[in-house]
Amino acid sequence: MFQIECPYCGARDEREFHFGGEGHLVRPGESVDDESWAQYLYFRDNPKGVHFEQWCHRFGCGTWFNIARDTVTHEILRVYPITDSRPERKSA
Amino acid sequence: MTGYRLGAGSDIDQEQRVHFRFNGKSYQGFQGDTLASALLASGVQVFGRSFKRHRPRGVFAAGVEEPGALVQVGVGARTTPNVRASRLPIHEGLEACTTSHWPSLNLDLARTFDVFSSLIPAGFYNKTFIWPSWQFYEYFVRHTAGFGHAPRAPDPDRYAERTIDVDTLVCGGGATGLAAALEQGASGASVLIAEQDSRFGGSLLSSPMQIVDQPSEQWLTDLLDRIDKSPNIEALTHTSVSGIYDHNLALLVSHAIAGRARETLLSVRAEKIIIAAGAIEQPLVFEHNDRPGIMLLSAMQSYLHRFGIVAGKKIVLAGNNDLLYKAASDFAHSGVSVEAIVDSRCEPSAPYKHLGLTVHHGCQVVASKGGKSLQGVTVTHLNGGDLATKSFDIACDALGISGGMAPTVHLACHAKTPLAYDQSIAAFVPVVTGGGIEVIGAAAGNFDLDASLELIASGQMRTPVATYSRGIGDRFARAGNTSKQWVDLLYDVTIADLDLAIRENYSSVEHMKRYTTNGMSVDQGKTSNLNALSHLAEATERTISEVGTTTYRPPYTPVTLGALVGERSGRFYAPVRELPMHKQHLALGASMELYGDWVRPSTYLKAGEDEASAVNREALAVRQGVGICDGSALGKIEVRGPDAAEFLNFIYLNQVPSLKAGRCRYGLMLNEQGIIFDDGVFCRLGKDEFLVSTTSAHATHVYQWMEEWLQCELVNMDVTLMNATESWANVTLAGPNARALLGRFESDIDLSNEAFPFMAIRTGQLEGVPVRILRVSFSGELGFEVYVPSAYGASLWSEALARGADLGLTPYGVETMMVLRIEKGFLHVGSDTDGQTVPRDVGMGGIAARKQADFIGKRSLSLPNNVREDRLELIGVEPIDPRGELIAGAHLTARGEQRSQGYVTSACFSPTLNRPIGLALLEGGRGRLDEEIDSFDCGIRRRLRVRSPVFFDPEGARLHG
Ligand SMILES: [Zn+2]
Repeated sequence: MFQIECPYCGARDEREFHFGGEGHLVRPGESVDDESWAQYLYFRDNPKGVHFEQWCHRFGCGTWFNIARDTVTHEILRVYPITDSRPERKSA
Repeated sequence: MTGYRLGAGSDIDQEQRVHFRFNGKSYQGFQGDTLASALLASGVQVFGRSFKRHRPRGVFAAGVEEPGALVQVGVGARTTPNVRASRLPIHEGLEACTTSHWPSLNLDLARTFDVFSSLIPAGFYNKTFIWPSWQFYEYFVRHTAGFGHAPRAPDPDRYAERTIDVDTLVCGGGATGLAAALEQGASGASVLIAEQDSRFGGSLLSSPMQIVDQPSEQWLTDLLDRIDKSPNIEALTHTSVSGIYDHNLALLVSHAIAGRARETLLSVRAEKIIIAAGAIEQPLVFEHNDRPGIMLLSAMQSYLHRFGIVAGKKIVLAGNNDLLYKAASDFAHSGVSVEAIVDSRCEPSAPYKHLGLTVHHGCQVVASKGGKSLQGVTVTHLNGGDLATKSFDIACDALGISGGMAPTVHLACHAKTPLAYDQSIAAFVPVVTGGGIEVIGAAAGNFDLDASLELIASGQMRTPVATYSRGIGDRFARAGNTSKQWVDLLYDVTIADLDLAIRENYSSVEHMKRYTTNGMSVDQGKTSNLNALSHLAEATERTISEVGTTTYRPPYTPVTLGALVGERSGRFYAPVRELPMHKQHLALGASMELYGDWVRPSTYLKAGEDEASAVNREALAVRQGVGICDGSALGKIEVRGPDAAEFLNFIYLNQVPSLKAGRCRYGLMLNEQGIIFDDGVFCRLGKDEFLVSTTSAHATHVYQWMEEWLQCELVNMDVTLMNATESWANVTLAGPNARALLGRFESDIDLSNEAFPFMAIRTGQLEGVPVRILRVSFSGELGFEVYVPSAYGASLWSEALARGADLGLTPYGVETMMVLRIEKGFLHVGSDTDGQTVPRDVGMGGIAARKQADFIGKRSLSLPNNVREDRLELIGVEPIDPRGELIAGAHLTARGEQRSQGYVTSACFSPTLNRPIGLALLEGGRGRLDEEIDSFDCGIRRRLRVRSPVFFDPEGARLHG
């Protein structure tokens, strides 16, 4: 079980959080073709290494935020607001 | 073995006798004894049978690594299988018995397995039980396999849970663990030490020595005294670290914490975890090395020092390292002389010359002799790696074996610390890389205690490996029958089994483990993995580093399900929500059932009624007079802010901005795949204020879903959400007399059809209480949902019952509500829709097509799969025979055809129409009205007719009335 640093509440156990999948997905407009829409719906990044993902402190303050996590070591490299843009993979 | 009690032991109190029973026979031991020590002292030799060949097994170890003496403990609901006798403290009245035997320990029919052992090699189960079928063999296998039985009654005990945050967790309370804890605590840091044993001291308890020119007993007492005086150090015995997980979380199972709990699960999050788990002695491999009477050298010492027990009258020690001489010297101090030492190394060990021991250097035990008990060993000279042809026998009834110590690397592995094979100790050591994990002392491969303590005192945790002073020799006998040379005593894996696996190309370490089951039993190979790997390496001419090791995973020792479940069982399994009018429902005799996480009335049974007749009575009462229903479980989400209308317009399939204040609209929510996710009514309370009513089951989910969209996507919208589901009680009045009944309450709200039309909401007061009234209907009748603050729900309910008696007011439950809505063809999301249903399938495609603005799931509605002609569409069905049956879930086919074209989603008996009716999803269903089709359920075909889903009052005159 991870320990996650909520930007508002501090370090808390993973069981208080909800995993929201890959972060920084861009929702296409209605006019995109089927292929691009399907990409948005179903295709996700699955890196060995740094993964950008969103979490919600559901059983706490309710805030959604982004984290950068190493999928090998599970080290959480960075926690940043949901509205921030995706950091460079190296600087994460 | 003919063990006996020599005298005092540091664990036992000889003043206090303890009586217990083993296999139905009475024994006694002393306070502090384990089952193993008490039985050894009584001369018991056979503690059980091995798993596969059912060979007799004695006590092999004194700790958690025990692979032989597994017993069933206790009776009735508290009976526990798989308990290691070496870890079980005895108490007055204890009942224990052996496990792997059938029908009894001495007459073990399955012992014939051993006679035919050549027929059950590695992979036996995979190869043999295929013909004619596994079921053919299952009865016999189930009766002969396993280590005991689970209790048949529910667990009567309670289990507790504790969450702890500490600066440092020390795993293991031996010498180095205690010293490290003190060192860490000196700065004021909070420290928790967990020791699985009943006492602190680790190997010092079994093998006392001099530490810093002081007897280790004295040194230990001083250390524990200092720990006791440190308020920031918590020290727990009887507490096993079962696993280390991500971000330095450790799970501990403790039997030590006083209170009513049988076990306590501790979740410990530590800045630093120091693993001081010690080392486990590895066995020698030779012919018949599984005979009762053969035990680990460290176990012999443990029984001697801690329990005052000598394992036999004639003791031989055999091994490949200097621990042999330390043990012999310990025995000499207790006045016990060792018959002989067999040391596979050629060079004599100098410091022990004065003991006057008979030492056979450069020799190996190649076989044991005897029947169920040991009578002697056969010894042969090693000659430059080869065995001399001449061998000799030594008579003995106890043999202590030592293949050297192997660091207990399990916990380090849980923490993802890589391992490296160290030739100097012939074992794996963890290669610590940081990340808040340290490994010290013997667990790090450092067997020089003085050196470890010096490093700890200097604040340096990471310790270099020390070697055995004279190195380490061979663990494998170089002669003998390999099918009688045991590697895994618990699962009966021999050298011959490993060789067979290698011949059949299961020579990857992971394959070999699974094919032979070596190391896969409850002891997780604590005394078998290393020898199996060593043999695999040698047999395949690879180094052990090349062969590698299998992964050690939690738990380190078996954990009871009770400890993991804690208090979360029975009614504490999940929270259950009660309605504001819960007590009123009980008083009316309602049958309460769980719907989602709410306990709600299903029906209000009257004397002599069954559920079906109660539902019929309640439904007819609603259609003919007026019914009252508790709708408080419906979700109520308040949406406020300048962008509230625009926000909901994105959430709902339906038009939102056009809705006028004081009006309601029925809407669907879709997920991004276009699938129907929830439905309900949304109401506009004011320009920037909405009330969203959701289904009961989805209220929390919908609220979280809205929050996610608001926070993650619609970040510029100024909207506030509040889940007010539990703040408001909902008393629903439905039926032709609903208005008359509501009119009997004093209110500032005009209830007339003109002032308060269908699909409107009014706020005001009712008998002086704030109220929101929705004129909506899930029954098809004139209906009012009356919302008052939850605290007033019960009194409104009771008052309504009192004032409505002459109007035929009848309480109705969820089952009746379902009948009423099926008669009207009203959708129930999750019943009449599934994970593929899009709006067009339920007749709402037009609304979606007309809406200009974007909304969740909109783009998906035009994907090719979502516009197919043959999609399942919601329709009504009824049996052609009005007395026929209609089964929800039944498949639908064209007449006489085989292929499923859909299924019945809801079914009930309609008391209004006096026949079964239902809703269904059917391929192209809307174009097939009046077609005769088949339903298929459990092999039975029934003839149905496709109908419009609205069975009753299709014009809707009643709800507009
Ligand atoms: Zn938070």
